Amino acid sequence: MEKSKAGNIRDTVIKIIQAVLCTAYVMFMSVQVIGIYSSGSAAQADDPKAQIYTQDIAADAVIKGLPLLILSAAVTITAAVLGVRNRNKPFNDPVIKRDIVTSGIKTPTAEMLAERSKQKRLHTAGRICFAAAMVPIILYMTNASHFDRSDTQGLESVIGDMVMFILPWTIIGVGELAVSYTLIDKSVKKEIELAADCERNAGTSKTEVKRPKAVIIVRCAALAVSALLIISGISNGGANAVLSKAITICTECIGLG
Amino acid sequence: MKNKETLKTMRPSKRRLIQVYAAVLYNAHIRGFIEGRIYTGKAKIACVPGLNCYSCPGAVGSCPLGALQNALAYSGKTAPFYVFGILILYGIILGRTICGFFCPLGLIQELLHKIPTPKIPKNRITRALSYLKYIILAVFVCGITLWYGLAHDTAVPGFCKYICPAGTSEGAAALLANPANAEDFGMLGILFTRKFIIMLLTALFCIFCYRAFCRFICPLGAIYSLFGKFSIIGVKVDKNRCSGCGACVRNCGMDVRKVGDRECINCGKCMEVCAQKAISIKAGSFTLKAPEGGCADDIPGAEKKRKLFEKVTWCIAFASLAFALVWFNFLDPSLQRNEEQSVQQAQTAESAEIPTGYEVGSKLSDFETELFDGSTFSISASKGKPVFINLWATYCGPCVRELPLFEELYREHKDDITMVAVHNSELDDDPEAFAKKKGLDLPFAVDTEDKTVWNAVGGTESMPQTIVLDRNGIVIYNKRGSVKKELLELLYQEASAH
Repeated sequence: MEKSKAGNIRDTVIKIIQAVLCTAYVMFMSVQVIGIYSSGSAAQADDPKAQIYTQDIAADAVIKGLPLLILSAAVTITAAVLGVRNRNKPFNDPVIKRDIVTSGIKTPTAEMLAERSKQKRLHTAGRICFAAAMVPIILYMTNASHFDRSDTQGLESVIGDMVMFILPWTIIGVGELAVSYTLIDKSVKKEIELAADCERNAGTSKTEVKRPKAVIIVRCAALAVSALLIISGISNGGANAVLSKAITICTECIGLG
Repeated sequence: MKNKETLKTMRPSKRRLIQVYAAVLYNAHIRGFIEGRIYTGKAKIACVPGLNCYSCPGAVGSCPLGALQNALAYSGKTAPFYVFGILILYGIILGRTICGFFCPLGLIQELLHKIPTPKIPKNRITRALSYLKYIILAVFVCGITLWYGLAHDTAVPGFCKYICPAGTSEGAAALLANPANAEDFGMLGILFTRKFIIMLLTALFCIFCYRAFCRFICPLGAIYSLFGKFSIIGVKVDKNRCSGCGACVRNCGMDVRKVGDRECINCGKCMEVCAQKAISIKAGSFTLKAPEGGCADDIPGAEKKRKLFEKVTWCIAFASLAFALVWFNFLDPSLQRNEEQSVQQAQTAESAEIPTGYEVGSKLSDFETELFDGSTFSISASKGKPVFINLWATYCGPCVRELPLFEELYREHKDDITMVAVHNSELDDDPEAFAKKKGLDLPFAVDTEDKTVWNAVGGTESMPQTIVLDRNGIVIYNKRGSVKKELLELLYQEASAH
C-alpha cells in the first residue's frame, strides 16, 4: 500500500532525527574516551602508577551518554509502531538495463560495437590503474627497513608511518576504480540510446546450461587439499598452537593494551 | 488486518534464525559472561567459520582470522597448514554463505542497519570500495604479521590489534563489563581509545550503509570471496527461467554484479524479487531453498524431499545446541579445572594466620619453581629483596616486547633484586631457546601443568602480568597489562623502600 505524502514526510523526519541522534551518540562517546585518555595520560606522566581508565570513570562516561541512547531507542520503537520502514532504493545499474535492451538485437551497429569495446578498454584500464596504485604499497610492504623496530613505541610509529603511506595510495586506487566505473556507465548509457533504433529478434532461444566440469574438479581438488592440510597441520602441531593461543587472552588483540 | 500484516513482516526469517543460532552456538559458554572468564577447553582447537573473537567470554571455538594471523606469525617455526586447511574447507563448502548465515558480526550489522535512518544506497563508489578489504587482508592480516613474526619473532596480529571491532565489542567490552574484571581497566590506554572509536564509527557506518564492515573491511569475507564461484553451497540461477531483468542485482544490498559473484553472500533475498522464480539456494545439485513453484519444483518430489531435509536439519541443529549449552556450561573438564583453581586460590588466601593472597597488601604464599639454569626460585628464599614476577608466553606479543625492560631493571639492580619470568604452562615453542635467541638473561621458569605459580599469584588467561613484592614479601603491585620503564623503576624504588 502506498503511503500518503504526509506519511512520507513524517517517515523522513523520524529518520533524520534518528540519524542525528546516532551520530551525536557516537561523537559524544568518542569525545568522552578521548577526554578520558588525554587527562589520564597527563596524570600518568606525573605518576606512572596512575590508571588512565578506571571502572568509575568508564561508568560515568557511559551514564552521560545514556540519555542519547535512550532517546534513540525511543525513536526506533516509535518508528516501529508507526510502521516506518527502511526502503532500500534499487540500484539502477545501467549495465543491467543495457543487457536487457540489447538481448534481442539481431545485428548491433558499428557505433554500438565501438561503445562496447570502449567499455572493455575502460574496464581493463581501471583494473590496471588500481594495480598500479598498489605497486607502491607492495614495495613499501616488502622493504624490511620499514619494519625494523619491534619495541612497543617503535611499533606504534611503524604502523603510523605505514598507514600514512598506504592511505593516499589506497584512496588513489579506489578512486581510479570509481572513475572507471563512472566512465563505463556513461558509455553504457550511450549504447542504450543507440540500441533503441536497432532491429530486434522475435525471441532468444535458451539452452540448458550444464555445470562445467572444471568447477567440479576444482571442488574435489580443494576438498582433498584442505583435508591434507588439516591432517598435516594436526601432525605438525599447528592445531595445538591454535588452541594454546585461543585459551589465553591476547590483551592487545582485543584492544585492552 | 493491518496489524496482522505488520506482525507478519516483523516475523524473523529463517535466515535470521540461523544467524542467531550460529551466534549462540559460537558463544555457548554462557557462564563465561557471568564469571567474566573465557572458555579454556579443548573445543577451541576448532575454528568457527564466522568472525567471532575467541577472547569473548562466551566463545567456544577459535576465530579463523585470529588463528590465521597467529599461524602466519609463527610460520617460520610451524607451517600454517592447519589454518589454511580449515579456511579452504569452509571456503569450498560454504564460501560467502558464511557471511550471510553464520557470522555473528554480520547479524549485528544487519540489526544496526534496521535502525530507521536515511540510507546510503550502493553505487559506483561502494563497488570500488569493496576492493578495500583485499588491501586490508594483504597489509594488516598478512604483511605486518609476517614481518614481525619472521623478522622479530613476535606476534603482531595487525588486524586484531588495530582494526577488528569484533575484538573490542565481543572481547574487551564483554570482559570489562563484568565487575570481576574491574582490575583490567588498569591496562587500558591509547590502544583501547583508538579501537573503541573505530568500533563506534564502524557501528555508525553500518547503520547508514548495509553491512559496511562486511563489504569494505572484513578480510575474512575477502578470503571467502575467492571461493565464490566454486563453493558447493550457494545461490544458483536457472538460466532457462532467467529473463535477465536484473531485479536480483538491483535489489541486492551488496555490491554484486551478478548473483553468486565474489560479493554475493548467498542470503537469498534475491529469490523474493525474482518474478521468474529462477533463483534457489543449492548444495551441489540438491536444492536447499527455492521459491514455491520455482525451479526446484520442476523435479517431481523435490519439494517433499526438501521439507523433510529441513525438518531433520532443524532437529539436529537444536539437539546440537542443547548439547553444546549443557556441555560448555556444566560438563566440560576445563570448567572443573577452573573451579579447582579458584578454590585453591581462595584457600591460599584464607588458611594462613597472617592474611596471605595475591592482592596488594597481602603476603604472597610461598611457591617453588625450577629455573632454566637448574636452580630453584622460591618466595621464602627471596626475603629481604624486592621481588619481581612476570607472567609471560612466547606467543604473547606485549609480553615479549616488555621483557627487555625487565632485563634492564634486573641488570641495573642485580645484587638487590629477585626476578623471575614465568612462562605459561601452555607451551607452543621452546621458551629457553626463545630467550637465548632474544639475548635475554633473566631467570626464566615454566609453570607446572597444575599451574602452581599462576594459582599463587592470581594469574588468569590474560597476559602479561607483573607482580611486585617488597622486602617483607608483601604484594605492592599485581596487575595485568604491559608496563613501562618508568613504572618498573618506580615499583623498584617502592619495593626497596619497605
